[in-house]
Amino acid sequence: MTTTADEKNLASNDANDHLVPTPRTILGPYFTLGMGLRSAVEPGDDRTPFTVTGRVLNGLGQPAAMSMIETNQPEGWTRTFTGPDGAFEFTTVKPKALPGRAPHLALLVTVGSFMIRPAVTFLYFPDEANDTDELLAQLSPEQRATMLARATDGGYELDIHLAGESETTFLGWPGLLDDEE
Amino acid sequence: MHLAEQEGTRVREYTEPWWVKLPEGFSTPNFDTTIWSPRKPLVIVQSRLIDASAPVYGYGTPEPGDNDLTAQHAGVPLGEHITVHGRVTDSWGRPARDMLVEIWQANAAGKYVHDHDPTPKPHDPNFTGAGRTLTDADGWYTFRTIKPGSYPWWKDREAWRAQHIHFGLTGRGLTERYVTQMQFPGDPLIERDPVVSTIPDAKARERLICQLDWEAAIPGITIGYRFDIVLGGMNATPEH
Repeated sequence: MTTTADEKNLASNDANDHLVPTPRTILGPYFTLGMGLRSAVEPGDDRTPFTVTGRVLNGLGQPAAMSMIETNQPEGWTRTFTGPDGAFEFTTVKPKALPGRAPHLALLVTVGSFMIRPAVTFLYFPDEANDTDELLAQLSPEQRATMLARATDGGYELDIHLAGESETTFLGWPGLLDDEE
Repeated sequence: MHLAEQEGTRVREYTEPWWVKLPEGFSTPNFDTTIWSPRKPLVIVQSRLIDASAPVYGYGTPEPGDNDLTAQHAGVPLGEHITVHGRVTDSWGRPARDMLVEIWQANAAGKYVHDHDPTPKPHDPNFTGAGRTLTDADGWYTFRTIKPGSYPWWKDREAWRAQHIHFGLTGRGLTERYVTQMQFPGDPLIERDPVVSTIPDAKARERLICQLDWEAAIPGITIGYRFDIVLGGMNATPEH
């Protein structure tokens, strides 16, 4: 990898004018104390709330208990935790579609015992025009399939596979790892 | 440029991209990363495609008093009463304003108000151990709380969790999500703290220790500590 003069300059000036990032640590097993506080989705209209259920599983299909699931959408956010069976549930409304995008929820998944940053994926709905979505267009059909929820009686369902055959597609962005040393 | 690329697999094991791994010698089973950690490469997309999904109105407003963990019950909690304050910035010193800062911690005896805490220690009926606040326009936050007790790491003789307060930070975008923890200066348990030990670099470990700061103290009431947090990985370009 090439290093530009500017990058070298920044790295060498850490002690002077470039602040070195604080290291990340795990959530730990007791994070629900602080992290379980208020969260809300406020659609501001009469959209009908529904429930999203699913499980967080490892590569052998075993449950990832005490994982934190956070959801983001323009209307707000939710935060919930998996039980001993890896299951989670949250209530929200379908987000409005943004230009060039199909409606979707962002999911941030953090396994409390060992993860230092959330793994990010998106949940798309089976009853929307997903082929118009700019992000999905960058993915293979197999990758897209891991983000597509199934309809249930009360809403939708999507499992998160941390590893294995059906591993969920996790997203990154430029600069994601810039704080690693 | 990441050290992971410079040093090969050792650092990669610790941090790339999500998982920590305990060094040898601590009595808890490591997660097998071939089962628990994603094996496929991250799909890198433009930040705008990610952050467009962030809440328009942010993450809610803490209520007054949410940052005073000593005043959440009828009585006064046991322990050393402390003020913890600090500034949240990016690597270029720019303040992270309106960021949600959440803390959670054990009571003075080293006991969490949590079903999962198995240690045979007393709860404090006047202490829950959770607080939240927003950073101000200059990136400052303040909490009033008590100094948490240490607690054991499984049944290890020599490994205890050093006294620490957990911090969770949430910014406007999905990409601004940060979890860390603060240790106290002079604590001899830090050296063998299992969680601190997952950070391979000694200088980096030191940055998790707060400093005594009388500016923040309330005379006759609290000891003051300062803990600045520098966020990385979210602002790739410095402001000129």
